[in-house]
Amino acid sequence: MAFLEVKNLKKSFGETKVLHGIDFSMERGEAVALIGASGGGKTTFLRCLNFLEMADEGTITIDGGFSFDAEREYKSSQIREMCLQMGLVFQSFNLFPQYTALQNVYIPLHLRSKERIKAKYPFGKQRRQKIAEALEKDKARALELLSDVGLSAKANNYPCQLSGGQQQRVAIARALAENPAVLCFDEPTSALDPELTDEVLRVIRELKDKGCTLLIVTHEMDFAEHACDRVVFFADGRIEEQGTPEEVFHNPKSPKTAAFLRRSHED
Amino acid sequence: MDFLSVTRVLLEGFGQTCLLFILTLLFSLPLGLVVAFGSMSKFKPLAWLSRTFVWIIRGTPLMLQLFVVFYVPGMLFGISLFSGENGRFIAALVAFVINYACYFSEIYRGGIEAIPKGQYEAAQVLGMTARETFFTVILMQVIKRILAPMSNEVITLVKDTSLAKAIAVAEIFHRNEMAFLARGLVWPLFYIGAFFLLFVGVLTLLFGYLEKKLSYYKI
Ligand SMILES: Nc1ncnc2c1ncn2[C@@H]1O[C@H](COP(=O)(O)OP(=O)(O)OP(=O)(O)O)[C@@H](O)[C@H]1O
Ligand SMILES: [Mg+2]
Repeated sequence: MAFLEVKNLKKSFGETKVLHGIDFSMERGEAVALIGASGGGKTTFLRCLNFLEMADEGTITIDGGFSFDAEREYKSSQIREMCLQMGLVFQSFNLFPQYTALQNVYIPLHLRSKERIKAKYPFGKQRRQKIAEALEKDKARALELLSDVGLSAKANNYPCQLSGGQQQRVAIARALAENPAVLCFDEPTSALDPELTDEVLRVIRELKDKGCTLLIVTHEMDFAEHACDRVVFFADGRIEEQGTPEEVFHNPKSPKTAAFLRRSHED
Repeated sequence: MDFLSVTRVLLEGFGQTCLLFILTLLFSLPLGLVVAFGSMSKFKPLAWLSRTFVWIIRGTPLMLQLFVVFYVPGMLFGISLFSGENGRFIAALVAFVINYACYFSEIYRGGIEAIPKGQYEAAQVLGMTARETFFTVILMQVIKRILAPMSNEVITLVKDTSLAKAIAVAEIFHRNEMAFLARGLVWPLFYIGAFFLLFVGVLTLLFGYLEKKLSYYKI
């Protein structure tokens, strides 16, 4: 069984069918690019994987993690557990504006540490001590993550004091904090000025080299071709074609893929 | 009537005015949040009830509400809940708290609904509970957004306290009327004006300070 296994995932919004039964799998450490025309359902797919939308049908399974089945009911605490196994980086960063880069990374992380400690130590001095220790650890980890994305020097800056590329790198550090099994990106560079996309793509490439499992929705065809192990072409809520970048970009089997690639070359 | 004894009488009245102002804020600020959550509830009957209530309170004069709170319980149950000096004060307080909670609730609601969906989604993906999301992510942003309309409303409250005179609460205008106006003394009115200007001036400075404190980030 693959590391991430998605079976027959379906999602509609009212009458609009967006995902028509997606079967998809990923191996550990793989970097997969998701490409396709606008409105094809790429964002919806990522949102289902991160439980921002609940799929109507189908299953999502993570090796050694959890298994989600759309047929079953889940408590909100179970959904939260599953969310932590997945990470998502948004097109629009969505940093918390009132917190510094460092706080953006360690505060969510520390909330989870606190929750775990509180479950273990019901009350008292020991609990307070454990929480204080965890806070130091979480801050140290956040600093480490920021230095991984090249932003140690900006740890105490607020998002409004950072460029778009820097904000997106903070968002990546934040998404990595809980060690998600799979990190998803939804057009991570689309909101950026062209000269800022490279620094973000470089960070993503470094993550891949470190062995992170990455699923990236992107319109950067160069990046998809040269930095990813596999390319998946989405059309009208279905996986139309997938394969190595070589296969998909140079020998597309489906006419839809070929047409899409031709159009994106023209832009 | 010399200046000093006028000052003494007016200060007593002003004390009541301040007390009414502070207690109204103390109760209506949190109550407004409760009403706002009611208005935004996904449980439709509750949202409807809450919004109708807000509509009624904002749609009728505060003066009318003062009279209703003061007189209606007595008429309905034959007991006077609010008798004596303290009773009148409490009746005024109740009316003010209800009235201002409704105004605040609409400001809160506007502030909360203006927060981009992405903030909630980022919090959810990071495994935060609804409670954590509200208190660690949303609340500070709401406070920043609503500071300006809140400062307007709070300054209006300072001046609205004078309406309590309608049910003979011994606030500053009531004291003035009993002690001076009845004897044809007009100049203390200007004195009162100075009191209010000073009060509002202090509040303006305070809100300015808060705004500055929160200006370290942009939303
Ligand atoms: N919340 C929603 N309610 C109704 N329809 C929606 C909703 N979200 C998405 N859709 C519809 O689902 C379809 C797929 O949208 P989606 O955002 O997943 O596409 P996409 O592949 O990410 O496109 P893009 O490349 O433009 O980002 C679109 O037709 C869109 O209108
Ligand atoms: Mg999209």
